[in-house]
Amino acid sequence: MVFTIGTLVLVSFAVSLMALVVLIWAISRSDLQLDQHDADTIFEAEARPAGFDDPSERTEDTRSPIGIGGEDLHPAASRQAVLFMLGMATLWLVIGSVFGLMASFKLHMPDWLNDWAPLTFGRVRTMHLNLVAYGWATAGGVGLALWLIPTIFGTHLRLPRLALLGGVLLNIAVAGGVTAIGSGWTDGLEWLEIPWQFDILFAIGALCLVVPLLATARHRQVHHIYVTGWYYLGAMIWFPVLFVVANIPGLHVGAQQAAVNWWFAHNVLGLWLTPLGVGAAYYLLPRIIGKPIYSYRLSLVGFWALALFYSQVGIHHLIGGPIPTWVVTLSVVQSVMMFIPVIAVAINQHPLWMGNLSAFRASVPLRFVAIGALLYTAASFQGSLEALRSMNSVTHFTHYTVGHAHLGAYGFVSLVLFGGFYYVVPRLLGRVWPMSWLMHAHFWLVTVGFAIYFVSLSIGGWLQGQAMLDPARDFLASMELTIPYLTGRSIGGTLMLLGHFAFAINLVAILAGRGAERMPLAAAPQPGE
Amino acid sequence: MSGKNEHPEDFGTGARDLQEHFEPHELKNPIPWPLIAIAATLAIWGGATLLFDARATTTGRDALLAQGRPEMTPSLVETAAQEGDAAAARSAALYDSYCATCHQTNGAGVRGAVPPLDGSEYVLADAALPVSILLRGLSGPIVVDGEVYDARMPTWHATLGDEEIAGIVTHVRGAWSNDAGPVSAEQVAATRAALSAELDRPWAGGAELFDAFGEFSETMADDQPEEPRAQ
Amino acid sequence: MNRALPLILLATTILVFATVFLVILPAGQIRSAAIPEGLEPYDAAETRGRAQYVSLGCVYCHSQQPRAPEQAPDTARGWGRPSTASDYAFDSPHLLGTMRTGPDLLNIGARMPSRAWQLTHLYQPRAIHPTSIMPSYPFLFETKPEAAAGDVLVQLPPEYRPEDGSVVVARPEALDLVAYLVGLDRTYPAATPDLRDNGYAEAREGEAE
Repeated sequence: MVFTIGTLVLVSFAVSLMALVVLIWAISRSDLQLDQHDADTIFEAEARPAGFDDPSERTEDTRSPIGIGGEDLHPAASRQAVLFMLGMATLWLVIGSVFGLMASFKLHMPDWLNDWAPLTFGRVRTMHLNLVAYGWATAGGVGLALWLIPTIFGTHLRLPRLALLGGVLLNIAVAGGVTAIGSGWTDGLEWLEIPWQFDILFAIGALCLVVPLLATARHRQVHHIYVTGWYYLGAMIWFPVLFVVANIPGLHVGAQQAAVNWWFAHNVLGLWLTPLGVGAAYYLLPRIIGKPIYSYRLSLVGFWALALFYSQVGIHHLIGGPIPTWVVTLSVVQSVMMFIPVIAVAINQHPLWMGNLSAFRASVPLRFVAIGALLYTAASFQGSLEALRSMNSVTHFTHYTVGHAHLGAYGFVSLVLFGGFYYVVPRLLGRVWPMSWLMHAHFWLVTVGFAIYFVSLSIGGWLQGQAMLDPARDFLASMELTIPYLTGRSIGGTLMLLGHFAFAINLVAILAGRGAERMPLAAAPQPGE
Repeated sequence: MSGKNEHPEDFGTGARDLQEHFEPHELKNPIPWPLIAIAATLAIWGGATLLFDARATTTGRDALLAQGRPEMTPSLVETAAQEGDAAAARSAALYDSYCATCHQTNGAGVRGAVPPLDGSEYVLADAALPVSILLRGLSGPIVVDGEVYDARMPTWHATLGDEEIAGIVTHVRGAWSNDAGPVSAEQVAATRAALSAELDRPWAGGAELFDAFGEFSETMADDQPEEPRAQ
Repeated sequence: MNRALPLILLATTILVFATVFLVILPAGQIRSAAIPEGLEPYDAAETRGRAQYVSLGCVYCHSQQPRAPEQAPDTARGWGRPSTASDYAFDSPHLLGTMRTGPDLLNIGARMPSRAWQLTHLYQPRAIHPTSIMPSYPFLFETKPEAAAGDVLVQLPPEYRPEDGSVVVARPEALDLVAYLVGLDRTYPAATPDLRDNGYAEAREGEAE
């Protein structure tokens, strides 16, 4: 048995490695007919000169994308679907972060708001997670995809009504699912709490969103699928499969269910939220700066290595747990292999914005995306290290992992989404953001707030883990020592929530018709600060 | 680039440097060799880890099998049985079934709810004291080791015989860090007879015990609450 | 990278490959194991109590998976032997957990078998551990002027009793939850020792970095 299984693991690892070698070899031989020129696809898909491009504050940049043939890439129906998703995502972000902050306060004020079951920690925390993961990040990421896919493919969104219907169903599922969790009706698995009855609705909604996006990809007017497109197409296929398999009720039980649970929960980060974020960053960074990414061929390694390795990392959540050693080890090794795609993405993205720091200073959307991309690298490196057995023994079961989860889901995905929203909404509405000071306030509140959040939890969590491993110390000590750090987290979280309010107010204002309209280029005010 | 003309301050030296940096590279070497080197290193590390863990699997399984019965708090019953003392084993078993639920197998009690037995002056005092607490039970405030407990201990005289009570008290007086002498069934019988009329009324707390047994401990006299609080 | 179909097919293949290794193969291995002697299915009260545990989100602070002594001092803390997959044969949803804001609970029934203690602790954890950050669950209890026949009273230190002299009794939800907690006892000998992560069993040097 041991021999057979050990062999299987080696096979799995060897196959992943061989796939990587073949990929690198093929790229080196140029068999894939991919060259640096393809990185300019984004500048060619729409009739728009390459150059610094920040529609958040400069009215002349707010034009909706026009295809090469003169086609308006975002007619009214498409615009409606995108705005609906972005608006709902922001609503869920605000509600979700209110719950998150409540949960944070409850950890150092344990008797606060305890008289009503829906406000107990276990439920508030869970509503927070589901709102921000499926409401904010998913709806927001898909909303950006609804704008980006037509834009990079140089054609309008196909079946926009179906996409809108999908968006409505998805959001109803989130609202219903989270209400159910609050009332105590849950499937009980982390990341899969939403009752399967609502999951059906969610899956149908997701499908209604995926079909129009794939149909749009089929009708593309460009010679090349830009890297953003690979990430998006991959994610559109992966997520429905993951979501349906993991949510089939009654199929999984006990420790085996735990394996499915973490296979899903990590893949929903790695094969859904990550591609949505990396894909958006691959578009937004070069687009706003006006220059292509460093090495287009390298992006291919980044994408396929992500698919090969990330898909097998989930069981590192069960290190030291009741899952056969070989599965755990496989996930540990694949987690460490994640260094490869992450370095590839980092080489591609960071020199671009670091070499254009003046653009970085000038553009708030770019700042959000660039810092988000940087934190993607940081979160992934940290994740690979946390999967090492020696480090995992300390950090697992502690608040350190909560800090890590937020580094990925907030520092990376959410910041990229913020930047994306600030870029896309003005180009949809033809208006700049009405209160740019709120946008700046948002940036500083969430970056400073998140820095406090992350540092507090990382230090507190590490000390907590060391105390837990020390048999000479009472278990209670490991909890008691975290209180100051948990309080620090609440302070950071409060700043983040204030930032989200600033963001939401600005969005409501721009949707309500405020903000300077685009003027003819000649009459546009000269930018400059 | 049109942006260059519009924003000279935005695309200054940094932008030009970048251009110079990556233009020559991209055609020759699309994948930097350090990345390939890192990939190769990781691959070797990964293979080694898999092999090591395959070995660990066997070792770990054998360890768990050898362990057999898990070591929770080491069972007092088993420890006593191994020492070959059947009576002690029986007493430990009695403690496990009647007392450990509240006082815990390690005799530490439960902070704020159940007083400890390990190191308790009531247990270590004259044997008649712990015996009479078992016989009559307890209902009222009691100070143990500086902490006030609102005790509600069941009355055992009807449930347990003299020999059983003697066994339990002997066990408790000798277990953990306790080091007081054994109690015989005859002693229990004598205490039972002396208390006869009041066996069904639980002690009203530490103060009443103190009144009945005098100064069995110097430190405790001052600690006891003046009046047993009404329940 | 110019055609969507091959990209989608390859992406799907990779996910299927991962699913085989992370889901299907472990499932086959775990589910073929026999249910250990000593593990009983949950009875009706325990099942209801488990549902309370799930619905209140206890799992977000309490794990149910003691680690091996080579990795962590769980056994020394009285949390029990390292658990194996077959210890969870009746668990759905699984409650392995990912956080230890509070202690591991897989063997809480063996460690704290007192129903009275559990009730007090659920009503107000700080009545027992003043520094505890566990939520109190007052909605699982009822405050009445006097206990009726069959009511289970919650014993409380004076400072946590209702001020008007009324008593606190457990609602059925609390009694079910406690039935589940005191029933949590996996102290029987480990079956299927292969079905757990034994990766710490051997000190290895390659792990240091």
